[in-house]
Amino acid sequence: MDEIWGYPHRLGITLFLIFGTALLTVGFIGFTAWLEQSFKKEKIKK
Amino acid sequence: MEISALIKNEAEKTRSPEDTVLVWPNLVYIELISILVATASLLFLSIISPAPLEELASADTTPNPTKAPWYFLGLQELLVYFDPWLAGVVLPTMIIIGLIIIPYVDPNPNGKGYYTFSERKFSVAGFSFGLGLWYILIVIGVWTRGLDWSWYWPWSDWHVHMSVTAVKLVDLELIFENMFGLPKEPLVTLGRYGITVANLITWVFFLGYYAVGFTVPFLLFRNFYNKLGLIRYNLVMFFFLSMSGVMLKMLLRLTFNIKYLVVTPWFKI
Repeated sequence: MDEIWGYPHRLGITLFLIFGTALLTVGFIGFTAWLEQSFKKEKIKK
Repeated sequence: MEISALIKNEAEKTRSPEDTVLVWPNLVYIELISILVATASLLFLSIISPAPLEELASADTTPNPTKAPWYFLGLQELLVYFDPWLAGVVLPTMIIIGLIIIPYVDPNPNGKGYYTFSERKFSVAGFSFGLGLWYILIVIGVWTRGLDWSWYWPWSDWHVHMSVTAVKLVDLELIFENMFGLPKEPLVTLGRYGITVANLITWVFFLGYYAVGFTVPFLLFRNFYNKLGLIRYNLVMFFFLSMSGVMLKMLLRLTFNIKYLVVTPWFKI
């Protein structure tokens, strides 16, 4: 196990890469969905 | 074209003049204000955070590590995982061409002039993934790479060199050779390129990724294929699979110590 997950913190790097990318992706999608919703609400107000 | 899209287009055509606004001044004013705000923000940003330009290069001053400006650090980080030829030339070219072809391969009429995620889920999700990957590579390059381009956590001592890595990276070809006891003598020799059985298997493995990637959505999401048509479908899938492939290749290296998937004398993938 050490050979695969040992130095230099490869488990950490792998998780950082996967979760970092996932987090940013979800963040960008969430931002688009939020913009869609807020523009819709603005239209209704008018 | 779908019925809902037809109805939408029809509704737009028959919209009365009272329900529309003029391009000038209504739209052009907004565009002008956007340009001014963007310029002012860039000016403000460049005043509070100047470009990291340093003195003339000198053989007496060799910083460790030498980092590119932040916006290029994603590319520099890719060099850890890919052949320089791929990370520095092929991948950036593919990113630029991929961005250029987006308007030509997107037949979806929804989202023109208004913001939508619900009507363009695949496009938005695919683009967001690419952008997320691009930015996480920049984050890694800016905040986790220290001396000798080693990985440093925020709590590591950034002044001490990390000890040399004990992990041995192996080409996929060698893994196949050792795993199945395949002969090391080449079957065919093309100039400098000796093609062994293991080398052929790595090609099957690599091209198989694209073959499966092209076929599975065609079989499972026929509607997606029908909407795009043959050429657009192949272009979209090629760029989408290549983008996901970058991530997969990085994970294969981190988890299975695989250095290169395919090795030839001229390039390595």
